[in-house]
Amino acid sequence: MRTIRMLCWVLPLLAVCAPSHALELDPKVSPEINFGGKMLVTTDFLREDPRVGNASNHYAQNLSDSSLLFGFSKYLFTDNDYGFAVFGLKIPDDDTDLKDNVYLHQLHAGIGGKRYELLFGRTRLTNTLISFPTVRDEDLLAYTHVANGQSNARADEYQIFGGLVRGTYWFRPYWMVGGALLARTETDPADLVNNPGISSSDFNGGSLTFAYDVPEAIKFDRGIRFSGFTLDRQRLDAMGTSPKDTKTALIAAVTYNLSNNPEKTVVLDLQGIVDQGADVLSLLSQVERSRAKNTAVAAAVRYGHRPYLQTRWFAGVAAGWKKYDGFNDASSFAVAPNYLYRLGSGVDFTAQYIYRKNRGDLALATGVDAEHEFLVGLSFAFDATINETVGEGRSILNLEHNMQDIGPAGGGH
Amino acid sequence: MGTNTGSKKRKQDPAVAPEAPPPSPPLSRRAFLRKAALAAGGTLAAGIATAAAASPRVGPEAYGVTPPHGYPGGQGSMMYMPGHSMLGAKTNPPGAPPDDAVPYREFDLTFELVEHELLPGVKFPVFAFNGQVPGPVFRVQENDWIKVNVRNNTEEMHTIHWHGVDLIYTMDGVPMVSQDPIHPDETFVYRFQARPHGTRFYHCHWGTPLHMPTALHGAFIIDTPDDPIRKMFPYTRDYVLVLEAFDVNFSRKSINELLRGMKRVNKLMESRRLTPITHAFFPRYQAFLKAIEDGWRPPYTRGNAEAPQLRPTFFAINGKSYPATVGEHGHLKIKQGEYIRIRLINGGVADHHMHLHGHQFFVVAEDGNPLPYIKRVNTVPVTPGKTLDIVVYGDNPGFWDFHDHKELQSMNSGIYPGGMITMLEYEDMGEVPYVPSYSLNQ
Repeated sequence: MRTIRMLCWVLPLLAVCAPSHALELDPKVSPEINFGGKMLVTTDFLREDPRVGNASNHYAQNLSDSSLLFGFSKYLFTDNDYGFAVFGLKIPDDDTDLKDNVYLHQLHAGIGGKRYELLFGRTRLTNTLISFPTVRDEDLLAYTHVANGQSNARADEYQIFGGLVRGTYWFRPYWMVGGALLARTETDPADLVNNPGISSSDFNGGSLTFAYDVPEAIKFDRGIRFSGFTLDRQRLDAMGTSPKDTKTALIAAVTYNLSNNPEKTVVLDLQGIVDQGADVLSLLSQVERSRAKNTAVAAAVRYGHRPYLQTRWFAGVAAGWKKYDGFNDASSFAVAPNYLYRLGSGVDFTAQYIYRKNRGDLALATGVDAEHEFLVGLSFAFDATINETVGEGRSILNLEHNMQDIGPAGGGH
Repeated sequence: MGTNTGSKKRKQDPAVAPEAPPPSPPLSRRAFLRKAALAAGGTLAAGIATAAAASPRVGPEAYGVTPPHGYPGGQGSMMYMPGHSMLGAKTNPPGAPPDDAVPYREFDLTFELVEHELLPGVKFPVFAFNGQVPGPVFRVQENDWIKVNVRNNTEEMHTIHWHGVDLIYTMDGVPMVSQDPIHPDETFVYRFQARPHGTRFYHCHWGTPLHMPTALHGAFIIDTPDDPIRKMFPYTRDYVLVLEAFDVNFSRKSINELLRGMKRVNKLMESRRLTPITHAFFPRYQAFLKAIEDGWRPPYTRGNAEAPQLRPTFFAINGKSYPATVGEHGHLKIKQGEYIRIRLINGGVADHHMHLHGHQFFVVAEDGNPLPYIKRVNTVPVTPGKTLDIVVYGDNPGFWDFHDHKELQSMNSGIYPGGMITMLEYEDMGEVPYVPSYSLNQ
């Protein structure tokens, strides 16, 4: 009798759970799957001129910035809005605290529509505005991104990526306002030698961005192509000799078309960062340099050779200058001429030379007077879509750095 | 040696019979070895040559066809005139009689980009004539002179091809064959005589794989008082059903991409910063070959493009999928003892096998032309570009399904029933034992 009573309870439940199409009120919807990635392999030659002693040379194969991305999206019940999720991994630089690791740089979900996007999870921080024409994201990192004042690690990933709750709203297709709560990666203040990351989830800052992206119709006209500014604020815990504090930075940027010839494009990128900083006693450590009050400017001019509107090659030169306030001529600059030749769709030959120079107290603190870096390599980027249902969207590769991109730094889905 | 022989054979004119080779003299051992070594080398070379050699260039006569026309390519086209602009232009192509020479019946059409609702809950962007899916039905009399002023209110180029109408070639609507594409903000005037009579249709011929299925097509019916079909079957009602297949995702994606691209292209054209080659227009074939030599990459090569995948998931009759076919457009209606004519026009890219329950209907015309013999069937295939006219005789009262029997097309995005289903209803049944309702998920 007890068994029969139990069956009376269980059988209706099974009927509900069984995959009966006619009874299924919320049938399974397979997502659109985007996958993509980039294999970037360069042969690097690095010559370091220390402030004291002889120069040292270093030859290496560099796989950093290579990545693999998986994106999923599907329409919501509204039929106009969509949900999305991205899972991405990236190979860090061999010469950092993340050596031998694979870093999960994209790990987020969100919803979006024609006018808005809400994103939760890890992706690019909102600490830069422009995608500069350098082979790798981090080639001019000190000049292009607001530094993470909570990390003492030699890990560019902790400077570029972090946790966010980000909302973006487009007034028109070309006017955008965005706000974000940021969770920059924090390293252990009690272990300034190994610098282990202790949190990538504690909210420790926020940002507000306002940007203008020129309408499609005039993308090739002479004039402003993209401009914007971001206000970035960070909460800083005590770390080493640096006390608990806050710091605020303002980023302003513009991308300007110098040529109106779509077959021979000339674009100027200009970005300035005024970082109000926090109290630091020296520039000896990474975290102190990240917290120090500074002004940074990055600029680039790039030429695109596009006969018949088919891109053949790019050549550019990017440069950066940075000055730390409160120290004796603590400044640095870098110049990076580079070249990209398209061998095929997503298959590019690249070459770049970077000269970095430190001055005054900065050279004293880092022990490095100058660096010469030359690299040549090959980049293979790909993206593909399976079960295309959500329709036209930006390539998932838009999440990655690409020296061909003009305008805003990657982001959005 | 083998290579040479083979090569020579390939180059021979097939019209000339090869002569028989002379008999070989006997070989000495040394000569044999030398020849064998040469043959071995030749075989290796043949392998390489076979892999690398292009197919021989021979004249078209060798294939039984003729060389291209001898006229200067691109004559009459504005597309090769530097800095041309068609903004606000009104184009009256040559070839038709002037307005005061014949009595034109005048119509106005527009190309529009609209969001079309296939059925409740499914909207997608389409190009549409007059914003309507399908375009408005033309009903004209045979030999009427027709004048259609068509204005392009979109950012994309278009043309109109009058499918199955025997007209002046400059009005045939094939871009870069008989006319320039109709540019944004341009008005183009088609003038022609409507003939022969029958069920014809019209559709855009620019970017046809995208524009025709989404949804630039419409019926063009040419009537005649001497209609042989009406004489044989005195029908009282005449229905037009345009059959359509929509890949709503493809449309959304393609139209968005296209509009983004066209915004730039139109602006660049307006400011005269584009050349014909950036549109892939070439006045002569030799100019196309020269462009490739100069480094222009054809868009279809393996390194340049992936094949677009068109996979229709919604099927419609006159712009609506079931249940909106009957819910919004109503039923096909008939009475007992009545003949009705149904004109089936395939305006899309899929095959449809239209099946009428409970009746054996008459297939009376194909491609608009009356058939010399009458078939009696209950299912008829309507392939892309075809029109078929059928006549139904009212001899079996009831509510009857009329649907695509390629059942995967009687679905809405994989959910049955949906898509290409409508209904034939008898109007004179009186009290009925069972009345249809709507079932949307079987």
